[in-house]
Formats: sequence, structure tokens, C-alpha cells
Amino acid sequence: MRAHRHGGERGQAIVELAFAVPALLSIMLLGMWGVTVARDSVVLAGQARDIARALARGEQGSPSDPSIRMQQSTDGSTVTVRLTREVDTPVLGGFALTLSQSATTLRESG
Amino acid sequence: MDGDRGSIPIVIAASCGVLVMATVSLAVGELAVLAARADAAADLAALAGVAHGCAAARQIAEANGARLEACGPRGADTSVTVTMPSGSLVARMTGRSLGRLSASALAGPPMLPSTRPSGVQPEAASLNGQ
Repeated sequence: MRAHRHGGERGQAIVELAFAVPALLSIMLLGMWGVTVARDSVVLAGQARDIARALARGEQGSPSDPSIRMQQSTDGSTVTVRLTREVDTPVLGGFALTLSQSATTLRESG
Repeated sequence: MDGDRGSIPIVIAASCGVLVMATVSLAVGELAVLAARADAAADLAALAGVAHGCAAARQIAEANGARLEACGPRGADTSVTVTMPSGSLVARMTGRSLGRLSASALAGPPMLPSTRPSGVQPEAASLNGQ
């Protein structure tokens, strides 16, 4: 009887670990992925600013990486540059997240 | 057999650790993004300000999702300070206490034959928060 109960506890512990370890690893992976997402967003924000600035001066500008899409719009006296980039999530199976950063600046006349 | 019973607290402790780590890394990441956007907004607002005055600086700061906190001349330059009002609660609280949600920028007149051809000094951003 006692041996039987111990066996049950042991099985329960193994089942717990079987669920807990992958779950914890997934969360860790998502956390690390979040850091790369943040880093990519910082890069996007900086490039959006630089490109908006270049366009406002009448120069050319394009993102450093071909995976970054650029939209530019002009509204009266301002130029807006929006950069977007899709990143895949590691755990959630191919669910793609779209990162987007934009910058708006005044056009320089003359 | 005692080792089996001991695995439950270990799993709980590991869960807490991992959750805290994930929360902290998300908050830090969000803060980094907000600080980068504050820097960009401050730079562009300062450039607008030196060309068209503080009303233009405010317009550009707001177009970039920031709020103009201070704007005025500093010598021949225009100095602006902006803050990012958005973000999650955790990022807003930690960011405000660390001064990471404000950024300052200084822009000078473009025609001066100075050592500052672009007219932007993105430095100092976020170090002099509040």
C-alpha cells in the first residue's frame, strides 16, 4: 500500500515535470525573443528618423535591410516615414508579428 | 523518495523565476523602444523648432507620439525636451523613475560654418530626464 502510494507520487512528479519544463522553456524562449523584438524596434525607430530626415532634406533614403518595408507619405509640410518588418514567433508556431515604427518631420523648403 | 516530493517547490520556484525574468525583460525591452522613439521625436522636434519655432517643434513632437515639455533658445541653438506619454504601466512607472521616457535634443542653425553640419546633437537624450 505504502509502496503503491510512493509510486503514484513519483509518477505525479514526473508528469508535473513533463509539463513544467517545456512550459518554462517556452516562456524563457519568448522572453529572449522579446528582447530581439525590442532591439529590432529600436533599429526601426532610428532608421525611420534618419530616413525621414533625409527625405525632408530632399535626399534619398532607404532601410538597411531588405526585409524592412518602407511607406512614406507627405501631408502638407510634413514627411512621414513608416518602417515595418515581420518577425516570426518561436513558440507560437509561425504566428508573425509585425513591428512598425514611424517618424514625422517637417520638410525643409529650399 | 523524498526527492520526488521536493520537486514541487522547485517547479514553483523555477516558474516564479522565469516569470519574473520574462516580465523584466519585456519591460526593459519596451523601455528601450520608448527611449529610442523619444530620442527620435526630440531630434526631429529640435530641427523643426530651430527652423520654425516652438509651435512647429510641438507639432512634430506630437506627430511622433511625444509631448513637448520644454522648448527654447540656448545660445544660437534651440533646445527641446520631450516625453513619451504612452507605454504599458510597468514601462511608464520604471521609465519615469529612471528618466528614460524623456529626451532632449539641441539643434542649431544650418547655415553656420560650424563643426556641426547636421545641426543635431542626439546625445544627452534621456540622461537628463525629467
